[in-house]
Amino acid sequence: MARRRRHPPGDEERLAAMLGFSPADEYLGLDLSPGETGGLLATAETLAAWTPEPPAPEQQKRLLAAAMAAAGALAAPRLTRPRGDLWTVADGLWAVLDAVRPHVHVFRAPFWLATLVAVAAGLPLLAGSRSLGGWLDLDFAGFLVLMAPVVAVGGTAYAFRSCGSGMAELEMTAPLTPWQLIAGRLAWVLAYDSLLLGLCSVAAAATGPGLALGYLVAAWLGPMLALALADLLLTSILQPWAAAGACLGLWAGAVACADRLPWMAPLAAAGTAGAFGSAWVFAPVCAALLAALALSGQRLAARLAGLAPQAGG
Amino acid sequence: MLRAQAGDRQAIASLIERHHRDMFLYFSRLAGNRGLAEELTQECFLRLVRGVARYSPPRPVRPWLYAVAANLWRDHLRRAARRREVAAAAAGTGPLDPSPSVEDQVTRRLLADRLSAAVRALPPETAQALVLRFCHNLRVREIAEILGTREGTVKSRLFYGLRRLRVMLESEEVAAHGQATPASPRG
Repeated sequence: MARRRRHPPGDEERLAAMLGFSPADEYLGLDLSPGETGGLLATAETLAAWTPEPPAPEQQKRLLAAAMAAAGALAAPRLTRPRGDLWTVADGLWAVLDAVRPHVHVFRAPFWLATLVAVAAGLPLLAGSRSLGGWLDLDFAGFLVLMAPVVAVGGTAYAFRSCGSGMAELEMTAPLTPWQLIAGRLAWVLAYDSLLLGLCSVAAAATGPGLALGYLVAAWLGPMLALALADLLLTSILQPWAAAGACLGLWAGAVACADRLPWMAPLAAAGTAGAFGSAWVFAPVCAALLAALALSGQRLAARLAGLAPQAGG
Repeated sequence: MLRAQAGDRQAIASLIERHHRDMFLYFSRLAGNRGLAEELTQECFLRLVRGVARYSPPRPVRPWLYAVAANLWRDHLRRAARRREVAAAAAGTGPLDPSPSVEDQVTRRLLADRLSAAVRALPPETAQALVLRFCHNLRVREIAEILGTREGTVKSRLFYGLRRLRVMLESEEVAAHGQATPASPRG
């Protein structure tokens, strides 16, 4: 154990106070030399005393004029796109694409890596189980069906983890409609998951026992979209991780009953036609969920911003 | 803030008057350029005006405003990186104030320029954490919320950022002194 060095009285405490640390914080265990403590303290004090030239009074006048003009131009506060706007398909698509871009920062390494690891670790596990006598009773399509909703739900929960936080509130002040915010984040999750699972499907189709690429993609796309939308819908009433837990519970139940549910055919390895059958089952499910989301979108946007849902909204 | 939410222009004006200086200094410290600081400060308050209806009352205004500013700064850096913008001009382009001694002012300005350059040389998130903590006196928890990260990460950025800043300032000092004396020949 390192012996604590002697510091000028109070230096360590002053540095800790300036850093905003409590005495229990770990940096004190780094065993700083008295010189380094003094140097850091001096740097912190220099930084604290650093005051650039303040703004000129004319700057504040210009700002006030601009702010008043902006306040005057504002319509009544609203959380949805105003009625009567020209809302063409191209306009909407462009708005969503534009909304997607600033949301990259929401996703940090844990999201990209965890999803990649989950998918990348699954395939060798599946291959290993087959060589060991198939104790994991799945084919490639079954594996992708099992995996796709899990990564999509995890990603959606991650994307909305800051629901109600200061950051979420901040994003609501950005010049985006709530729907753009929601669509932007969901698009990132689904695009990334689709890319990974699509690559897996290509690999499985190329190496697997006669599975067509279309079959593989149809097998996982429906459940992935449906569970991600269901998760988003639940996020309008529950905390993001609670919503994810509920969705995964639902999915676990469906997996447990796979052999009795015709739309879980790929998981129950019941034949090639089943995947396309399940895709047709999931299509109306997704449409219904989207409709429900459209109805609860305002509530979700309010939650995203950390606001209580508005009365009558 | 509640009055501002109700559309009271006087309340918006008083919010601006109260926080304008802090916001301007925040951007000025990070950008090292008064023109850019003014532009970003204006954008920050315009966002405040547009988003005021969505403000939830129990939250303190200051961290919320800094969060808007931090987001704006991040957007600016992203845009600047895309345009491959050369780093903005050094701080303190205005004329020297005639009242204190000129020597004092020059020394202070040199220190400010060095600090500004060193802060801009830090990773953006670290620079923001340092400026928010030491210059704007925000708590670690508030900084974590503003930057959208964990308190532990902020503490680590503060400590290692301060260390790095110290090394940069000291090495500049050494370089400045070294220029005055001839370098010793190697080998």
